[in-house]
Amino acid sequence: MAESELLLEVRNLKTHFFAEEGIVRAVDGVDFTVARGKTLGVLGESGCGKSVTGFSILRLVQPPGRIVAGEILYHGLHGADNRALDLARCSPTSSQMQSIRGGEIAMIFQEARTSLDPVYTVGSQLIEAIKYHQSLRQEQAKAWGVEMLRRVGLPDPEATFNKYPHQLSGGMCQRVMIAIALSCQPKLLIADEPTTALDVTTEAQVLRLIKDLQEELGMSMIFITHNLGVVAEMADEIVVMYLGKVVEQTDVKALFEDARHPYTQALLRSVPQIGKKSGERLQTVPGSVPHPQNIPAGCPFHPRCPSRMPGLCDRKEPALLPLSGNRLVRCFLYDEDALKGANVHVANT
Amino acid sequence: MIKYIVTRTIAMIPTFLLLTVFGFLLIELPPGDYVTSYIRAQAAQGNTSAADQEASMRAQYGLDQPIVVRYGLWLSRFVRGDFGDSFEFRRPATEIIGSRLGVTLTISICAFLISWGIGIPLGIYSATHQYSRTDNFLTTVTFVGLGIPDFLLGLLLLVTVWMLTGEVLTGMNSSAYASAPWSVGKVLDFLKHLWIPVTAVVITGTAWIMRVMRGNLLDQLGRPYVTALRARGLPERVVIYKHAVRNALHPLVMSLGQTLAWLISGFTIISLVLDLPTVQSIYLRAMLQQDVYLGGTILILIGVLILIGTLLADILLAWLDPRIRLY
Repeated sequence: MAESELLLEVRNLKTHFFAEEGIVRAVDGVDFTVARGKTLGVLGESGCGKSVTGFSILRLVQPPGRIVAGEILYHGLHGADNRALDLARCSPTSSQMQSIRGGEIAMIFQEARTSLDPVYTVGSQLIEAIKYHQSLRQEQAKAWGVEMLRRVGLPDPEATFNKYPHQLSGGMCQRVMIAIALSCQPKLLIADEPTTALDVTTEAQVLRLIKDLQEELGMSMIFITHNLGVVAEMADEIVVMYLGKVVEQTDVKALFEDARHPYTQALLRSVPQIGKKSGERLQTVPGSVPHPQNIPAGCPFHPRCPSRMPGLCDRKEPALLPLSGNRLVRCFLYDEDALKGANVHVANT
Repeated sequence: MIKYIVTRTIAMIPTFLLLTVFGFLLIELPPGDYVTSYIRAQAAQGNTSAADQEASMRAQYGLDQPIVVRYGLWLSRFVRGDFGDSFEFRRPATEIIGSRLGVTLTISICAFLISWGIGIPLGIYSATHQYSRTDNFLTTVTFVGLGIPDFLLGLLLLVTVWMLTGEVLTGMNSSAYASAPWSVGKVLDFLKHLWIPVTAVVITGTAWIMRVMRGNLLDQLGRPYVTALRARGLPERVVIYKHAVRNALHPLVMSLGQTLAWLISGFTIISLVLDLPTVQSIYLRAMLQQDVYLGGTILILIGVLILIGTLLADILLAWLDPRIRLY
């Protein structure tokens, strides 16, 4: 990928939480890139660190959590020397970080209603965000706010402007959140499971809306979800996360046609499909996600892996390997050197 | 909003009537009445002839009527502003309460303003600097403040001053100024006495408000909307003071409803211990003496203040939080 097409590069990001009971390695070595105008899907089960990755990019991780290693290179600012800004090195409270939040990189959340302050009207929260990033007067900001509410498809935007969050439905609240997030025309939108709390019909509408607005504004997106169907619809590239690590990165077509990592394969098998024999039991990923303070040695997925190789997978941790077709996999099955060295026989998968 | 206030005010009338019924019943509950205790007191001094006046005294005070009639008479006079005379002091109840209201309100309003004025900022600081050295220090101090009763603190201050200067600062004025007209000297003397009860009440009050404010604000700071506000690039001071603090004030505003009544009914024990001429000490005395009209008037006054306080708190809450406004 050419440098100019890149908007965000995350390299070896590690965000740990220093709890009293021990260290939780919520994000433990995440690498990915987001191209301009494209959508990166971040896929994983609950607790795999996908939300913490999103919060880390915006430097919103609160103590006892902090970024302990890695780089978050943002290429969206046109500095004189055209160099990328490492967000991991910015102070979370600096004015530079504040202007990036909302202005350059915006975020929307799972629970839209609880993500709005209950005691202010949606209009005042919208104006507040606009006025901090753009030097607009009150009337101009208000006009722009109403215009944003109209663009996210809210009926009667002027009336909605003066309503409180509790007077709106969940879907409407999410549209308001999208309006606030996009009001300052960010170059990157981090969407953290924005439709999980919505019913299926509303979900489809909101996803459509996000996609349309993305095209209109030409922005990039990091779409965090655990839903394979949603990620297939929204993403161009996908990273699959497991216990704080990226286990596979590929484009969306290849992921669904030819997943390489045993975890991704297991996830794909667990999706219910129309046209399958009825009465057949739905497959699940065997076992459950280990406790974050009790992560298994070696490859963290090996206790649940159908193709694990005793003597290798439970001893050493696999690296993220580049494969043909711009894809990356973290698995010994594709590491010929490791296979030779450990001298294990691989079952034909 | 106006409709809400009007409905809320009208709803207070039946509550007030119920309050007078219970107030009157509470006064009537203990066996005997003022005449009984008066005769007992006279007999203890060797005056047995008082027993002969029993029936005439009852008739004089209307105590021989059935309870419903007595309640009706009492209430009809009550709403006309005649709260009856104190049996013990043989003066109108209002006059006795009025003469003590100034001192009571001076102490309580000073204590209220200082403890809220210190408690809220310290609570905010503590919550925004959770587990810092200052927070841990303040937490320790507040636990001590909450653990020691105010009357004990008052007593400790009193004894300390006595050991250092030899002065016993009970009451609100030295005997030299007790019946003198107000002058600069008397005001200074009054202030010299005032700080002891105020300090004692402020220490426990501040500790409580700080704990409540810290807990609420920490709860609010963990809410998703705070993360969302930060994600919009708003400066931390806006996130905290404009949003989180406003949401965290709810329980304190609710407790304002009780605070209005607390102004004349709080710190009763410290009033007794320091011998302060407050409404609280006369209230307790009236209750013990079965001085019905004086005790009843104070009881109803406390109840009315709770009603008004709750109304004001509700209006304030409705202004703070749109979800409470019932259209």
